Amino acid sequence: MFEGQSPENYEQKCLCVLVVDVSSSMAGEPLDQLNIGLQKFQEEVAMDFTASQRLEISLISFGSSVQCIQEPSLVSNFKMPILTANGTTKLVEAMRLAMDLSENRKKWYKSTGQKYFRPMIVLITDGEPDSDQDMYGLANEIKDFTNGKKAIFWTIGVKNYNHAKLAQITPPDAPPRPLAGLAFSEFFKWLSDSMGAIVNSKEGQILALPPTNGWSQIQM
Amino acid sequence: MRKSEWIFASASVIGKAHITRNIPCQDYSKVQRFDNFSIAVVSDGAGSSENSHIGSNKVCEYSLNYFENLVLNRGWNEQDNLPPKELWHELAKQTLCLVKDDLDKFSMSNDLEYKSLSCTIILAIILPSGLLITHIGDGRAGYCDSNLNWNPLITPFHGELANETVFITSDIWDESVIDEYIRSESIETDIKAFCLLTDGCENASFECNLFDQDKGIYFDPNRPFPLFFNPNLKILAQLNDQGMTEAEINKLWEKFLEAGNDRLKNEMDDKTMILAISVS
Repeated sequence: MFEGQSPENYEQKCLCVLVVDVSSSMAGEPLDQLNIGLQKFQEEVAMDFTASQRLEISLISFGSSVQCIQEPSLVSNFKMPILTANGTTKLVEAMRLAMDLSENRKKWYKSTGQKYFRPMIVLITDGEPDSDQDMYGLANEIKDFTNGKKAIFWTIGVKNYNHAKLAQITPPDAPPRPLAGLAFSEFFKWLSDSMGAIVNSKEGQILALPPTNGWSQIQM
Repeated sequence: MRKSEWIFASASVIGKAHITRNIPCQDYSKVQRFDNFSIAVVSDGAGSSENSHIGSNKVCEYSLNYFENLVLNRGWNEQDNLPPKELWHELAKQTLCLVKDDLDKFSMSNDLEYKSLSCTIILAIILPSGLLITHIGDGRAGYCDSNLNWNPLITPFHGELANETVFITSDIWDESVIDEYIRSESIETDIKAFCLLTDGCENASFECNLFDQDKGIYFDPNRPFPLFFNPNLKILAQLNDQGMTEAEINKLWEKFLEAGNDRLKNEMDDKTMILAISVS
């Protein structure tokens, strides 16, 4: 009975930076599964009306070198790259690049008058960083970043990852989560569902995210 | 003094995200007619607060009571002019403080954490001489003048992040900062219609995030969308003419807010809107 048209409002933006380990230890099945998971992630987000218009995804890969292989973009505006294995584990540089990218994107949102949610940085790695990596320095930078509420960090450990080492850099309330086997598809389905909840949330809200038992296992 | 009758459509609808996560509708709204004036209020419970659905209900209940007393004590319902804007703002702050204190007492007597009742509030008093409005937090409100031009009534409070606001329970009551968070307005021109809504309805009914091609920036004109409101005003008046009761109108309004167009249908947040039209 009642009827009325809605205006064409643009959506607020939410940045998700995926920082993925492509070192040689990820070669083969792990990287294949990660690539499948990333494709599914993009498809799942595209099917969520709100998330597809709010969520900007960026992809940083790290091996012997660190590369931003996808600048922040809505899922409808890019083709998910296929990752290939490449050398050692420059984790620290990759995380620094992710934090810089996040801050720069926020500056751009501000300068263009766009409203935004707190960005998320998701680290996925199977190994421990190269021995020359400044993990102590990175830990402090991440601590400052999270204390300043500049971003939310999630860390996913793959197979034989070094939990103790990764736990050094993660915020105490967000320790590394071990991936069960190579359940990347299940993880990215969960991430997509979680993004759907996050882009509809209020700041400060304690979100009941979907259960993680489909992809995570308990680290003893 | 102008005499007019107001018709209201009022409803709250649970958001899709709340259904998925099995949490109640945290919005609440209420309209009440008194002797020669009416009060309309909407409240959006904070998603981060587990009892905010109770908070929004209580804030509506308490504020109706206190603002009714304010109008009657001041005799505003019998006056030809609205109170001066500064006086209204001061009294609105004092009255909202009473609401806040009652909410605090309610939390203590029911063994609930005070902040768990966090919610926003937008309240309008419809007087013969015009409209008074006050609010804390986000949401939107607008009015339509006698020339059928729609204008905003409030500016929602947003923090740096898109989904950040303040609540009646927030630390906003110090004299040095209170005017930043509690804002009041009065409109003395002829008002044909007005709306109050929580933020779950804003993308469907307000222009609030547009792109300026020339400047290359996004902006919030905070503009009620006539193509949303005008057809509904017409229908509301028709339903009233057909003799439909307020409860029947509200049921139809609820159905419209649920899925009346794609934007409303796809909204994840709780949705509350009061639409009112003068049929003088």
